[in-house]
Amino acid sequence: MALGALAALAGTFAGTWATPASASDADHCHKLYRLTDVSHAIEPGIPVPATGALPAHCRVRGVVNRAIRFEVTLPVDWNGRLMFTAVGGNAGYIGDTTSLLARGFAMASTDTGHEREDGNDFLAQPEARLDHAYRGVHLATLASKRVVGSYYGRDIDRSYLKGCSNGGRAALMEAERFPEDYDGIIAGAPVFRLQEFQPWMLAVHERQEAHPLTKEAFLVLDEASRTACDAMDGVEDGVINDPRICETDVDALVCGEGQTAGCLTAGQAETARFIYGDMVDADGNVLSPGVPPGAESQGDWGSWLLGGEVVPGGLGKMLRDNLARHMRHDPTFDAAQFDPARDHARIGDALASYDSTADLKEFRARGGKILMYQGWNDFPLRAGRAFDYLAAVEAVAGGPEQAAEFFRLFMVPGMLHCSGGPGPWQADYVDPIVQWTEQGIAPERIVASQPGEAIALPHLNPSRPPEPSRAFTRPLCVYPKLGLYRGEGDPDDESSFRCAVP
Amino acid sequence: MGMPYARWTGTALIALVAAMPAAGDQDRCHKLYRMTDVSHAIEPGISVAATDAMPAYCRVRGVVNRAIRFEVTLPEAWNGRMMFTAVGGGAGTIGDTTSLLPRGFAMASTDTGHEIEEGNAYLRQPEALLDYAYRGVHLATQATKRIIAHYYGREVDRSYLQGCSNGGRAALLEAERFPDDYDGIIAGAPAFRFHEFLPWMVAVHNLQDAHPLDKAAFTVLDDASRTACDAADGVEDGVINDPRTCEVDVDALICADGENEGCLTAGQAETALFIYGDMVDADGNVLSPGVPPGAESAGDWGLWLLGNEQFGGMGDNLREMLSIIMRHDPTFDAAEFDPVADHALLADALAPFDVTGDLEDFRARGGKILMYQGWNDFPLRPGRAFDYLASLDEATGGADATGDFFRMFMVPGMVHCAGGPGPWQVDYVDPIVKWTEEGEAPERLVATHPAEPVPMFHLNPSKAPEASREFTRPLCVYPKLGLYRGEGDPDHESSFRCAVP
Repeated sequence: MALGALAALAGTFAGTWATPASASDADHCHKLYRLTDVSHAIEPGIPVPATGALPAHCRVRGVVNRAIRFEVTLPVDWNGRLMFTAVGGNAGYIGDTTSLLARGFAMASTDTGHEREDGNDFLAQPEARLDHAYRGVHLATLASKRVVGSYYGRDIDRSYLKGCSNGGRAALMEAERFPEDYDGIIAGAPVFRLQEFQPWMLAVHERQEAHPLTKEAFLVLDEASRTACDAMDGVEDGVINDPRICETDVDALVCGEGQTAGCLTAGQAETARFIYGDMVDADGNVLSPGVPPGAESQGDWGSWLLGGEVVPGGLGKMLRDNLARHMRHDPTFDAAQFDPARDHARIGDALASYDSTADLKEFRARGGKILMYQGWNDFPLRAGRAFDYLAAVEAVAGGPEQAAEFFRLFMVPGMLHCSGGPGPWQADYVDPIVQWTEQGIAPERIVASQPGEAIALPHLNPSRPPEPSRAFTRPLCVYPKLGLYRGEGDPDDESSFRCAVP
Repeated sequence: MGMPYARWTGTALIALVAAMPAAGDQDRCHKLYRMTDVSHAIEPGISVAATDAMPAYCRVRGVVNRAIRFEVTLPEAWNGRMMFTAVGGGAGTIGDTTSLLPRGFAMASTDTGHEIEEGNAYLRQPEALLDYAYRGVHLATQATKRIIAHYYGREVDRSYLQGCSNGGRAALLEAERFPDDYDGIIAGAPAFRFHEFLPWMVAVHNLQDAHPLDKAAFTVLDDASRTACDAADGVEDGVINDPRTCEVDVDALICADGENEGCLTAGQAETALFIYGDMVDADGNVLSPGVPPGAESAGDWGLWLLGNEQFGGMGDNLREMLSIIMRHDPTFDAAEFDPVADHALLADALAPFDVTGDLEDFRARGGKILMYQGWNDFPLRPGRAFDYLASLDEATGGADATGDFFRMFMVPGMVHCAGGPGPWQVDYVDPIVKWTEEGEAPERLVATHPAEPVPMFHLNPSKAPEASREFTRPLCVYPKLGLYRGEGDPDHESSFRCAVP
């Protein structure tokens, strides 16, 4: 965040800045344990002195209802706002509670009621599962607000929530189920429905187990996508700006007689085609959209097909084990026999507690705003689902214009799952959501950066170690608009791009 | 109700009103389950008939918030007071809920939210850990007060809390964190800071694993301590009255060539020297005070170094506890934990257990704390208690101000919480009640060493306990100690005066 912007915000909300650190801050912090009650165990807070980029703050941890661990960080100089981080994956750990302290936000996060060290057992514990589905963030939010209010001696002015993947799902869920919890929400690549995600991922892994794609194969696909489509947007930068118009001829990649490198086996081609394509039912109805072409070697395909640090032991087995846990009350269910396309509907009931709907009416009515972002090259949470969700929100709202008054989707070109990839994936969504929520300035164009540096991200398993590349900027635009090259000017500078519907 | 009851009520000015048994008692006891709600499962109470030792009472059990088991006992003739027992060790059991029923107290205790039968598993359940650290006693206290008020139809007049070891820690934390919960507190040998206790105990066991002391070695050390220091206080009674002035020459105990009995190996001497000494960091700062000499064979050293049937091996157990507590830190390896160099690593994770010494709110509302500490306590060494008292003096402005609400009594020759060659049997209840209710601050308590051997599960002595001489001694407000006048029966407390030595 630029200093100018910070000053502008400070100016706008000058009245909300807290008084400077006082001698009793440490005592206030320590004594937060007094918020302990029959459903909350609140630890003594620990005053953390300023270090490097982090300002002095109070950090307090607690547990709601026996299992939902949460942590709140309280900067000495508070801007009156709360930012809560909803964590991704299967949760089970506390997320970011420090990145916005320097901007004056109080922050919080929760593990949603289980510990990842315990694996996925929580899915078979009725309350832990619902806490993961939606209740953990809600209860930790209520508790965090109490902690913040008690520490500063006044209520929060504005509450914000951010999260990606499962965290994006949890963020939308808050808007839908507990519309009074938050004023502004940043939702990245949400898992809208586990009922869609799990069968599709299982279908992918059935193909992958039969005809495994390898890191070499990802490179072959990546090159083919680039060769076919990179130049279509007028800039050759390794980013396919609009993958909807890109088609890779997978059949042409099958190894010729005697060819063993730089090509695919027929079986691998079958697996790749399934992944790019839509999964349909027997009548041809789309059950799950496929993965758009692009960035295949950059780490998403690697993580989600080969496993990696995030999914040790292989995703296929984990998915089946998880389905068995969700469906354990149905004695006729056998995860090994589950047919993703045919049996799709069977698990709807058991997974309903995880489902986002597009019913955001109450959140909208009280002035809430949602900024959603989605990587075009996200493997697990494919872009097509986001378009479906936007369409549903528009249908409820009465049309795209009405929806855009409170809900805007920004597609990120060349971004993988939540972060990383060849595109401009570094963007500050906080400033835009704050300005929209508090000043009514709706975001139209957000400047995003490709850092250029090689950044190893734990959720990626790329075919080659990350290397430094060119740094560049691009605009992110309100979907269906995309950032289009004007045809002239520096293609590494966002000013050479306009937001328009292609 | 016999004479003892009358005696207690007489001293404490609490009338016997409203305590008469009524026909509806059993029904009211049974129907205590009606206090059940979403966070409290309250069982039907059970009416327990009077016996020779116990008056008739109602006993009711319940669970707070899914896990915190507690038990309340309600005597027919109630004196308006409640005594809650905070349990020691790793908790997981319900403590004493009967000893003060003959005196008219309602009593209660809690397992703090986990069961001892399940070992250390609770340490990895985030809320069970915090319930053990401090919340279990608080929530069970609140639930107990509700039950008492419901059963007797009126609120508790005065609430008391007693506990030793982990229970002493829990008692001080109540005063500190929830100062409205109790009026008077008896805290024995508190475990002030787990991040002091655990590394020190790991360090002890690292040495004990390398050069084990055994029961024979404890006897060698005990004999040496006695020989060197027993007579220094003017009374040869097996009790070292002020171990600060006692030094044992451990090196002189190393076996000579060919000697293999009644002496120590060089390795054993090293282990013993570490235990007696302070644990210091690289700059020489004291991280943990050592164990004072005396009573080495009485059972504390045996239990905490050798374990026993109940506790098993301490070293592995400690390392398991550390691994569980530090599980969110992927770089932590309990096998590699260096008690000195890595001392600070644990502070963050164990902060919920820390007693800080901030008793300002408790003091302001008139609360009183009576603390006791055995001079020969092995796991919870007296040095920590002195440090704590010093921190209180600093917070209150001085020893006199502290003495208005907090007094510590050192017990000579007592090992951990109970037992040992000294006068370890003492009633702290009467003094805390008088102090709290009548403002009569305790100056001198009479303590007894019983003649009959009392086998205790928390001790593992080198020899089976034997009958000994009964004697009494005064316990005095630290820094005063009971000093022999130089004349008079050394087995009688009247031959001792309280003075700073």
